[in-house]
Amino acid sequence: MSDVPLDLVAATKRYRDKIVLDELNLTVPAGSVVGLLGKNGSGKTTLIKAALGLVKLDLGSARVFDQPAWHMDADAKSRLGYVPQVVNLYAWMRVRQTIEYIAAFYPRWNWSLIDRLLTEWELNPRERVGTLSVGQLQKLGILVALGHEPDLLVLDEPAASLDPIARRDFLKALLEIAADGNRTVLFSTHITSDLERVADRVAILRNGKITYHGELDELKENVKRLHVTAKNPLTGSFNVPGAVRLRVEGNEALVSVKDASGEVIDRIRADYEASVTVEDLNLEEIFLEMHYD
Amino acid sequence: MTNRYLQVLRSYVRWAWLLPALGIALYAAGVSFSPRLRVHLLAFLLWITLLAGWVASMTVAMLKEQMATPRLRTVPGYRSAHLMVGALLMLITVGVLPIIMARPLHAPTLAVIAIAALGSAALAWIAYWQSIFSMILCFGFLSCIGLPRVQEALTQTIAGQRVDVSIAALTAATLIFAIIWLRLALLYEESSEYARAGGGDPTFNAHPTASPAARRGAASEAHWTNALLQAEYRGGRRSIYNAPLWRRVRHWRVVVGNGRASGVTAVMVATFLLALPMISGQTRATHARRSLIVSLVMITMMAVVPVAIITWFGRWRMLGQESLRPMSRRRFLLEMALAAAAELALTFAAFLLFATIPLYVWAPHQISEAFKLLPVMIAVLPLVLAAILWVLRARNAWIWMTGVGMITALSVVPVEITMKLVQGDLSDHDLYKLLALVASLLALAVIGLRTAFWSWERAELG
Repeated sequence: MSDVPLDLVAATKRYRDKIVLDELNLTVPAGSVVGLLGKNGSGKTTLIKAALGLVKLDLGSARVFDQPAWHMDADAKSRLGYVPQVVNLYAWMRVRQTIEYIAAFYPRWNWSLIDRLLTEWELNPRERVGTLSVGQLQKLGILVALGHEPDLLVLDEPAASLDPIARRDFLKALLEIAADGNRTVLFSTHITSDLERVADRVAILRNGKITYHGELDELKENVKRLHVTAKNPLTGSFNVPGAVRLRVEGNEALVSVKDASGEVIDRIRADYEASVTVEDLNLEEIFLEMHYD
Repeated sequence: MTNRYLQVLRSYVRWAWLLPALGIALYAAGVSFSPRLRVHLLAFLLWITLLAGWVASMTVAMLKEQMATPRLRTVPGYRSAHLMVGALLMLITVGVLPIIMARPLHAPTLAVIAIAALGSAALAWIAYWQSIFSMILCFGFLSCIGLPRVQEALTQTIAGQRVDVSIAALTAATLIFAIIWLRLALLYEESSEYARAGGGDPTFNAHPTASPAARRGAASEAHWTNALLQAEYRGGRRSIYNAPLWRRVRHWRVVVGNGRASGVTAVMVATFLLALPMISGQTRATHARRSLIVSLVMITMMAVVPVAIITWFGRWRMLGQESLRPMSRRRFLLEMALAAAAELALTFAAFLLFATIPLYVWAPHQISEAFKLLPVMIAVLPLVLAAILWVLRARNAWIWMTGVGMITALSVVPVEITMKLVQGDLSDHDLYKLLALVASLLALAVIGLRTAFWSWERAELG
């Protein structure tokens, strides 16, 4: 049994002339909760689908539990749970029937977990799927992905349609799953506060490539915004190594840097006779800074 | 015509609509056909009607697909532009195309337009409502062409002797189209037919959002007609992970929700066939019995395809998620194909079983003769399945609809042979030809199934 639940190497996917994934590399370590961040249309869903073998890569490889994603066997798939961005379920079936229908495919199913979540998430087992609200449908989609207690849970913007209470409950359930330590979760989201709450790692997708993948704490530790006030006006040559965003106005500058080490700060102070104040950024601010063109 | 109307018109110019038009134009340009027998004349007229009806139904389906959207109420002039353009296209479809096509018949224009318009209206009605009941109603209506009295009336109409029939048919067609256009003019999100656009009845479909229309569709489950058609899925907590293949295949079929639909439809068709000789008032006439056998084979073959697969198209949206169930991709596709095959076989069996009742009542001595056709009818089925798998591969409602038409056309093979059989045109030598036909059909089916499976193996299901 491989320790690497999900591994993409030089993954390339084009739709006509548009390159969606561009020789992308991403390895999701076992036991981690990885948040996938990216702008709309950055390729998050394609990445997830390619990783699960739902779309075929033009070049490179996608492996799940050391098996080619396109040709996963029953064992690998029984260890995998997936919640798509748009949950499609059969409208005519009741909630109970839907769960039982899906549960039947798996060798084991945690009915006590499902029964508990049904109650906690206020889903009526007798209700028809077609009469559920978008949020309830999303909950049901999550629920049926959890029943077989997958070793790898992949969620594509799972909380997008949930209200704040449901989102909190969902994150709680996700934390319970992650607390096991053996389970791996990859989820894409726009809600950075959710990601900060549950993820221990973050992968940022931009222009078809992973521009950052690592510990969330490390990212927050390293990416800082520096407020620079120099004695003299800062010229166009003002530059800081590792700057992701730079705004200069007179003798003041705002610089967001990837690696705000003491050495970098000391150098700015020395080179520009400036005072430097370091500002911590939350994940949303980091995301915005890293996507500034 | 303002720019708005041109823009709307452009949205209807799709290859699916142009293809039959091109076929018709080529036909009209090249064919010099002079039917001598009445049956050929009627078959030709039926063909014209079906083709015009096919274009009409596609136009109505496209119209509804474009109108059953929020734009209908939020974009100024959207509804009226679509209604106008749709009406124009429909006038061309039922007015101009049949005249071009019917040129070789040298029949009165009014008669051709009236018959084509009535047939087109019936198919447009199915396309608009997209319900199994409208389908049964309209196919039942169209199959009345098998009645000797109706055939007589049609022959006289084409000969220009029954202007009253032409006027009645045209009035009925106008009424049907008027109802459709009126419904479209009043259409809004809570209309019962609103959700039934594009890919069939959403009640059976996987649906992406809990739209009010989808909710209404699902809520209509409580209706007794649906309860009658769908056997309640009892569910249960037994795993099928290590279950035999047949149980797994049965499990895949659950979500299609066909339940008792095949059986109920077969009973309705059998009842219609049972009443057919009484309606025609020729319970003793030999040709009435012959008509019965022809109708039986025709309806059985033609109805099997839509009843068996109409609900499978909506499954596309789910295939990505369903392919992640614990089994290999190849195994998943095999089980799905077998589930579709089971659906087709069970529907066929139900139709065949119930169809023997009218045959037993009205033509007991011809049962053995009719059963000679069974090998041909069965041999067509794998080929039909292959065509279904190819059509389901296309994620396009128009290709799907055209494909269903083509698959249904395959049913003509046993119908043609039936006609020969009941007319006593089949000699012993022809029976050998039948065997060769069965073998050819099966060989074609093997190639079709293999290539369809090969294509599916490469399909991106996400």
